[in-house]
Amino acid sequence: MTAPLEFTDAARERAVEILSRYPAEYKKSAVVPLLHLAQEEWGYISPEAMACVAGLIDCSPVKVAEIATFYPMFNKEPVGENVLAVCHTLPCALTGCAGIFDHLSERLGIGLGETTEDGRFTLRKSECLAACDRGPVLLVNRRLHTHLTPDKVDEIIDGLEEG
Amino acid sequence: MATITIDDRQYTVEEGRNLIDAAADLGIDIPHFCYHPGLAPDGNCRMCLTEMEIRPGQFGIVTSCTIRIKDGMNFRFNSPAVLDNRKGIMEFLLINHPLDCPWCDQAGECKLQDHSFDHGRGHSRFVETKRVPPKKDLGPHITLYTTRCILCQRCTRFCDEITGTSELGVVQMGSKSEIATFEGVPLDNKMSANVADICPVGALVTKDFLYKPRIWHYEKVNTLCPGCATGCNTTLEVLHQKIYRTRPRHNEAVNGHWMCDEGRFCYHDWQDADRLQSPLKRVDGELRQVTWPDAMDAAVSGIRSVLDGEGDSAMGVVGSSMATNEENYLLSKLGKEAFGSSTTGLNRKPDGEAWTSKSGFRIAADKAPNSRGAGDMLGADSLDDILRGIGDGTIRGLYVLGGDIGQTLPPEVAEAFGKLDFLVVHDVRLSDLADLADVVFPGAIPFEKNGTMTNAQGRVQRLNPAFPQAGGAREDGAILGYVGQRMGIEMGGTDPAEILEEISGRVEGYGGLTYDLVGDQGVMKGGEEPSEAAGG
Repeated sequence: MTAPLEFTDAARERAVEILSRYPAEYKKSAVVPLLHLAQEEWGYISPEAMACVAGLIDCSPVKVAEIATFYPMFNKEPVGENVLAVCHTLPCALTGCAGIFDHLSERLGIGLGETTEDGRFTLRKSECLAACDRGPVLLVNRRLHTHLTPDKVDEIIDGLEEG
Repeated sequence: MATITIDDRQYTVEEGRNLIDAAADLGIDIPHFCYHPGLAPDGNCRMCLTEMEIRPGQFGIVTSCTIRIKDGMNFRFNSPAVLDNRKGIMEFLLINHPLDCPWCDQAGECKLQDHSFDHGRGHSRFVETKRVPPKKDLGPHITLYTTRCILCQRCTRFCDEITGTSELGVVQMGSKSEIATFEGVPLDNKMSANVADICPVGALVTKDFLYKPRIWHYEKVNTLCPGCATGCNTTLEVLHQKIYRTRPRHNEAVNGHWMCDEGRFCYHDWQDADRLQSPLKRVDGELRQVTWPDAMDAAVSGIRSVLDGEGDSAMGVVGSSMATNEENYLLSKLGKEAFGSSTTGLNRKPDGEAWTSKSGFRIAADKAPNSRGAGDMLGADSLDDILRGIGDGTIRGLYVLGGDIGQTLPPEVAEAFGKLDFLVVHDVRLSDLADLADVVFPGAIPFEKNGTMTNAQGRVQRLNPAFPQAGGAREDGAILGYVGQRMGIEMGGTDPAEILEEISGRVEGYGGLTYDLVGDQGVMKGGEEPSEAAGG
């Protein structure tokens, strides 16, 4: 059995608050917000983190793994400080997402799924981000950037590097 | 009852019944993968879609597995929309499915093969590369051939609903979805191998039945599991006098659709046991192999000398909870009529662990299949009277049915049996019981027996032989019959069906029982209703 990680006291308090939003007999409903909490806490969802969440909602850990592996926004491996996800679904492809991806890849010196050596950036592709009329689009952590051009991408990266 | 319409024909079916089951009762097969009568309907595979009249004159597509029959329902099972859907579902399911049927263990009993034949295409339109995820070792008994899985989730639901252990889940998304266990939590529960039975394709297989002869070569024998007093109904698959597989046989009153892993695989212990090949007789303090007539003479003269020297009641009989009702009955008759009202006893196995699954499936603490029936036949359910008789010197000889490969004699019993002047034993291997005997007859194992057994609930059920007795062994009933004859009593036939008829006239609770009545689903003795169903 994978030993579960333990939340810090502050995170534990938030977990209790999250659980209080659901009736006691439907604790499992809290799985997604608890996974978000775990990701904030540890940066990614390891098996040990899944076991921690399973313990909080009294279910078998594989049931948490089902959810955590279903959603791409849960990182299953360590990621950089900033996760960049270029949408590669059809409308973005038509508006040139491939060029955007290549530009990012060249500038950061990393390929798909990789993280820069300084640990600041991870580069990914994403499925549709529901902004088809504004493509190509890029998700930076939780913020969406639209109507991208290589220059605009450079501005975003500059901003992140400075900040 | 409810009247429903299927493809413009009217039928009367049970109200509230699931549409797939109701149709099956009528002999109509609705193709399906995810639905299993032992599990709650899930509606995920979409293969059972049919058309139902949802407003007057207007039909809509529904999942048959989630429909409960109500009066007046109107279905179309063979409309173009329904047939088209099945074709589409089959095509999707086969996108990533390998065409490894020639060496897949499920071949011949595969729903995907069957439905492909009925509803599939002769060729694939899929020109891309198929996904080839590696096979996985899920637990001690089960391997997952990931490529063959169609994600019907019968296995995950089995672990959620029946065992309550929830070791299995579906991880990843879309075309990458796979059945998986969690790191460090393997599929390891008391009923885990049932997932291979219910897997409609060749994805989940037991390691025990991997790369064995093709399934269509086996003879199927309906019998009972000898592993505990639940008496799960089973089907053995036998080839060249060897069992290759045990599978549970549906009996709602006993085991439902399931059996435990221990019972399923216990056939190995029996079939691989080092069996007695001939009768044994003690000569100069040592057991030696002798012929049947020699052993029979030794048994009869030994018994006679006990009876002549010490009086009728000096010879006791001890039955076996591994033996059938008929065998125990013949033993008790031998005791009563040939030995003259002898003391009876039953050598019970020490209780093991009892266990009840989330769904109510029971594994009995009593690890012998017929303690209840043996007790009924002998009028004794322990060795107390026998041990007392040996202790006070009134019992000087015993006739004991053994026959359990797993049992050892408790020290106090071995000590008491050691004091006897004469001991006749039926056994299947050189056990510590046989070690004490003056004469040992090689008997049959439960997989070689024809007869009835009574489970813990009081249900009388049929045992059928998978193969003839090994080597020089004989059916215990036949041995008892011959000893009886030699002792000069009328033992009647040794055909278990005839003996059961005799039992029905003489043993309380067994009145009116015949082989036909017992059938292959069993019947409660004394017309009792089961206190609690063991299935689930």
